[in-house]
Amino acid sequence: MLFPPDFLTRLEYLSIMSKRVFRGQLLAQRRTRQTGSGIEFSDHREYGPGEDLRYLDWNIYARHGDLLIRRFQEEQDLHLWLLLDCSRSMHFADGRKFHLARQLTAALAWIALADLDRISALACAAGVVEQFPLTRGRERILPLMQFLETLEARQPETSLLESVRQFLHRRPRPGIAVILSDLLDPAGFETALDQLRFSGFDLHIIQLHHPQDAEPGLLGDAELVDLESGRVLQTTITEHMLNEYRRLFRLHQESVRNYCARWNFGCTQSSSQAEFDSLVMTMMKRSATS
Amino acid sequence: MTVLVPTALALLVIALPITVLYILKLRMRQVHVSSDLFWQQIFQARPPRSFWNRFRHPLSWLTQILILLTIVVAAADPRWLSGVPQRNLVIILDTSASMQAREASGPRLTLAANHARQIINGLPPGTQAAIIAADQHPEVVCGMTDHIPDLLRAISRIQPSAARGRPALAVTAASEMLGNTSSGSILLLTDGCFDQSVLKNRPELTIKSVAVELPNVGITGCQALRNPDDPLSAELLVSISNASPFFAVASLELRLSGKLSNVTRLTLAPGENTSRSFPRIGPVGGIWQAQLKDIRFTAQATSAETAQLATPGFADALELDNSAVAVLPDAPRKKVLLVSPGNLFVQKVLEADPLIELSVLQQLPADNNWPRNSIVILHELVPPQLPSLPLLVLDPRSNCDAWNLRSTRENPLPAQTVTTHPVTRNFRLDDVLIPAVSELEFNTSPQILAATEDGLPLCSLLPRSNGPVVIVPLQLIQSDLAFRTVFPILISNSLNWLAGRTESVPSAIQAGQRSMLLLPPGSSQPPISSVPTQQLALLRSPSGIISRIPVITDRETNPSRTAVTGPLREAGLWLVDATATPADPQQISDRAAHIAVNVAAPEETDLRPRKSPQSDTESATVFTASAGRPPWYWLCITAVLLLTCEWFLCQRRWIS
Repeated sequence: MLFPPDFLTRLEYLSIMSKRVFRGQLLAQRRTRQTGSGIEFSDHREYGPGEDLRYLDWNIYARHGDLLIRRFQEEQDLHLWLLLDCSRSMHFADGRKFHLARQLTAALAWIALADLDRISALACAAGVVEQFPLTRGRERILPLMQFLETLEARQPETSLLESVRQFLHRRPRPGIAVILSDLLDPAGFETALDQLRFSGFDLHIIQLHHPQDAEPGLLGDAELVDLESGRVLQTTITEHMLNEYRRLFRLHQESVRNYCARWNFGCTQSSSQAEFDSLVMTMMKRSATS
Repeated sequence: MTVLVPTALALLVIALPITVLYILKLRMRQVHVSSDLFWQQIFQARPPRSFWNRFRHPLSWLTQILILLTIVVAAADPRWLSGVPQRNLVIILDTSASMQAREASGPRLTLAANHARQIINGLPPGTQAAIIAADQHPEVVCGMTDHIPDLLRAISRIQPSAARGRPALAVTAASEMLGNTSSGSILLLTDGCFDQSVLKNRPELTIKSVAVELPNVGITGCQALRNPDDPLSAELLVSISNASPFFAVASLELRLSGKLSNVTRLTLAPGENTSRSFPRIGPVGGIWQAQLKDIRFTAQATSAETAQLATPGFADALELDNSAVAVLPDAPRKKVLLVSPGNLFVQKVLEADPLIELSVLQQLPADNNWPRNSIVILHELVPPQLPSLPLLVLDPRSNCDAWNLRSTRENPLPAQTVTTHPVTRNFRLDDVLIPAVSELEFNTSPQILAATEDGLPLCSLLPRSNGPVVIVPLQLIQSDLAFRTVFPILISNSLNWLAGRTESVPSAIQAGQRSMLLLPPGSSQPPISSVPTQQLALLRSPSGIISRIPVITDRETNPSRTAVTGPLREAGLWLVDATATPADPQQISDRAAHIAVNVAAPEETDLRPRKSPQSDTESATVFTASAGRPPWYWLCITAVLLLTCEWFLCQRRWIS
């Protein structure tokens, strides 16, 4: 069962824990980067003709003779965009990877809704397959869970770039974009994430992998069938090739971590066998300390 | 080239199923992966179908076919056909005691046997060979045959012997096996520790030595003897030889029936032979065991004193001759009945012998009631009917059923004595005063052991089926014979002969010799065999092997029985038991007789090979074609190598 009866209880607990840990740092408590009519001073800019003189900084004009307009940080609701990978690779083996990804989606959504933020969930594969519309209010968690339960990881291919493009074409309001995926995209993940970054989104990457993704445990003659493309690869796997596979997987994980570290994005990498609760707590603690 | 087992080639049909199985399409297991992203990257660096991968399966098939081919051809036992004519070969394997010496690479006999196996395995087709095991008595263990397995089995059956070697006899036997054919060869595999000059002028003989010079100290003789004049005293004689160019230090440990009796420290100069005697007093015998322990050879020592202190340089090479055994029999006790009206000298002579249980009667027993198992000495008194017992008659004064008393000869002159007979051994009457001798007329002709110059018997034997009789017709009361030393000698010799112990049995024999053992008295149980004329006794070797040997009963001259053995090739203590039942041959009774067998051969103790008239280089040329390993051996090696290649090819699929 994707969402057991006590799932909401656990989400409530996680919500309380998240407030205790991330007080003033998360979601609705965060200030947006938009400047406007807030009360908290942000910076100055030069005065332009026709601008409201109420915002002119008379103290600076009196001291230096410069006409500068005071700018204030505008307080807005935070928009949380949850991009869930629904490709077949997420349903590898026991499907635990997709299962955990949906549970994490629900958990993050609940925490945001509890803080009166707006959330939206998008099922992605070769593009945006389905979308749970932007919504707010704690009562919207149940429709979201129904939406997540109806999702299936049956989409033939992964194209994170195409999914991001389609997402951006909808002109979403910038906010936090959480990507839940295994990031096993043959085209790579950097371009897609760059697009989101350029569009002003804060990113948090949750990369899940099945233990067999990290350690295939295959030796000898085998027909490797790609779950997404259905491509068949006949080969003889040697110990040397296994070592090479482990090295490439490790490099892939490191590249994701390095990308996130470079742009100060959140990054959570976990095995699909990890416990849901501990994974959420670990993820949030890491965000708090970063 | 030919093959000895052509039917084995039929096994080549196995190649068909191998090929069929190989060309069947290999069904690979299907494995789903999340993404082949990383696999594709791996194969970009190295294509999945590389050259070796593409040719892997045909190579494996070819390798397996080659493996099958080599195994089948090896099973067919191919042989090279050489241009040289076929030669018959007799291999003589020296099994003497010195062949048990341990070389650096193993016992000499093992080395010789391995060499013989190599030669047998490389025999050209059609060549016949025979195997002779040669110690003191050569034994053909396998007759002329070209069946190599029989020859190899015969080699494996050969057991080491403790006997001394007499290769000349074996070579003679081998020559007889070859007959007059000029194409025969004799190969003597030996350590060369014998005088090889006796094997000169034998062009067909090749001597192959498997030995190098080894130092050895051994016991070359061990005998325990009772003094014939004083049965209460005995002596153990041990001879030790140092067959090495070094000083040797050793301890000689003596045990009697398992109890430590004496330990002597020995220091032997290079090549020294020494003998030590150890006296012992008492009637009780036992098993003497002499053993050399803590043997050290010191190459640096220049004298006996420095040898004691020098550090050991070499080890003793032959363990077999470091111990020896000897059987010291108990002093024999005799029951003697003296019937005499009274002669103190005769009585005292008998009483002085502690091994005699003497009873005295002054009159003849009534109703011919003679004691059984006794020797009767009749002095002057003679019954009309002689008892059916061993008798010593001294100075008879009346007639009986064996003789008639005719007259008395005065002052006879002793002239002739049979000194070789046990009764008259060390018996001299030259200076004995003999005033009178009774002249007897025997009903049957006696054996005269001592007589006067005119032939009057002074000491004679009367053979009977119911007990021998020794007659000394000297009138003791008038003679000084009883005062002379010769009298107790005569009494002792006569009693020993009458008791059936006239021949002294050696306390130990040399290994390889046969033995005729007088079985102990009282073994009156039914014979083992139901056939009365052929009795058997059990013979147990020192290693515990039990065999049956015949027992000869000499009813005419001596009621005792004699067990006859074959060559005793094992050193140690052998047991002979005529009372054990065939149902339980392992149960050797306590009354079993012992035979002590020792190496006791100085030429076997000396482990230094003598110069050979036929050098080894010659043997190398004679047996060059045959000394190599057979083709099947190399084929098997090839198969193993191919198997390794196939294993490698197979493993390449798993471990790169």
